[in-house]
Amino acid sequence: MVEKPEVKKEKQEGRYVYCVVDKAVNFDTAGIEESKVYSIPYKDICAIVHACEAKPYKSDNNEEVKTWIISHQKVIDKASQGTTAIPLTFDMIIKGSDNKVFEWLKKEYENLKKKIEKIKGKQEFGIQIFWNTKVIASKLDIKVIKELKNEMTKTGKGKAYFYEQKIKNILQKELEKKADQYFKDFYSLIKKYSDEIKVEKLKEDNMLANFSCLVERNKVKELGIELDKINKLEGFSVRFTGPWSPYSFV
Amino acid sequence: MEPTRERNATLVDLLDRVLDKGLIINADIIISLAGIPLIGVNLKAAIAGIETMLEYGMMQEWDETIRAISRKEIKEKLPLLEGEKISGKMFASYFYAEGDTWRAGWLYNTNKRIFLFRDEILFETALEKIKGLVIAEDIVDKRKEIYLEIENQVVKFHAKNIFLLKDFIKGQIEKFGIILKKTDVQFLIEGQEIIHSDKMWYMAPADKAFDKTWQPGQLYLAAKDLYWYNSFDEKIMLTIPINKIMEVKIEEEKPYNANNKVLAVSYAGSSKETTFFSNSEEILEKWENLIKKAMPIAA
Repeated sequence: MVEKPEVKKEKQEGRYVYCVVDKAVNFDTAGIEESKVYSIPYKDICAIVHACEAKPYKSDNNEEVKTWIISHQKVIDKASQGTTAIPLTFDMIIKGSDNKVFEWLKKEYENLKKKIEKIKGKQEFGIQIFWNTKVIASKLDIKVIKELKNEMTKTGKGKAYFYEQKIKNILQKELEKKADQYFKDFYSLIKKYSDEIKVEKLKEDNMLANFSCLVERNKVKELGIELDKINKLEGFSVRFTGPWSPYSFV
Repeated sequence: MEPTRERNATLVDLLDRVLDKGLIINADIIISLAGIPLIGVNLKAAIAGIETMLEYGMMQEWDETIRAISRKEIKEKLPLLEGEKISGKMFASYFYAEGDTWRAGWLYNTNKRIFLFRDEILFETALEKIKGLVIAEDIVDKRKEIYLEIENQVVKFHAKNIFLLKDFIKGQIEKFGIILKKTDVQFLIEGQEIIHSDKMWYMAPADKAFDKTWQPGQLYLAAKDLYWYNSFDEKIMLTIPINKIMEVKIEEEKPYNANNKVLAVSYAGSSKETTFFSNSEEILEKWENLIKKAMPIAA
């Protein structure tokens, strides 16, 4: 994959945009594939970019893509120091030169400012809550199941199978109810410390909840303390990742 | 607790964000990005496993542009029929009986065919020729396979997640209005003649909720294998090659009920394993004899 920062004449040039920050900053760092990253200001905001060919970064080599993505994040991390940065998604390349980026900033200025206001002083965190249904189920005290288990011991194996199926179904339903209840509880608990919560898809079997949260800097510690409590509940565990740039809230 | 951004632990979180989220510039001033989400899809697939992607419907999230690109890419390489459209692909392997070997490639679902491709078409069948599908476990390999009945022939497929493969194939067939017949055990046996069959209880191994359970089904003795078919799940749950059977005998059912007799069949799996069947004593004795007769060395 050849993506050189030097723009050749015969090729159309472009600008890879990492983020937009709320201050006119002088920025000089290395980005994707050691490209020179710099800033293009408009009024009090500026876009953090590097010059490239107007061609997407594309590769079948996952290691290469991973490196790009980590570089993308590094630039945004650096740009966020002391500023509020709107992160762009990977591979946003504006066709043309600095001028085009400038025009884009100008056109989108109001909109970008609104977004900056929304995320100012806040960071994004990922919270994933896992539960062990076996442990939870073992603690459920359900009268019907007790009765069924009792009856089952007195019956032949043919019928026992049906009893077992019945118990399984009841357990399943009870667990679903529990999941609903826990989800709501955890959601409202986390909501107390978050400006906004996005409910994400569950990605693993034993995942009960997956949230992206926009959190004010001064509330992160308290949120961590609450999550600790969940993490200590028997049968539950919590993954707390971040701080991320507020990708989910722009 | 403190939030973490330790790289290995959070790579997937990072990818989710950088590839799927973040500000998007409206399309008219950026370079054509149609192909780009593919990077994300490919990379996340590599990390999460292609099956997970399918499972969570990420493939369906591809918008039309991406589909168009992948159609184009496919067109260049794949010999598609006129009017044939790809609706999905999944990595799978197929047992090539003549070569006695597994051949791996991308299994494509189209509106006309299912075919396996790697540089060339390794296997293909028209959708309407597929008559039945079942999952069965190969005791020796300790893995499940999919058996497809296609006209008069049975072919075997494997994928990392066999249930997804089943949904992948079955979903496609059903989408085109073809109803697979209820699982017929006969075809599973790949031309093996069924020697004998009876209703039989089988002691299913422990799962999440229970230690062990007796389950109703049908036991089949074929020329090369012993099969147990689960009447509830309508699938073959157990396949024991006859030549792996080490011992067969009638025992008391312990610790459940000592008055009850069970048929214990021991075979060489990854270690010596024993599985239990139950029915009237008379039927169990019949099966004890049948299996002993079928075994290469008298037990």
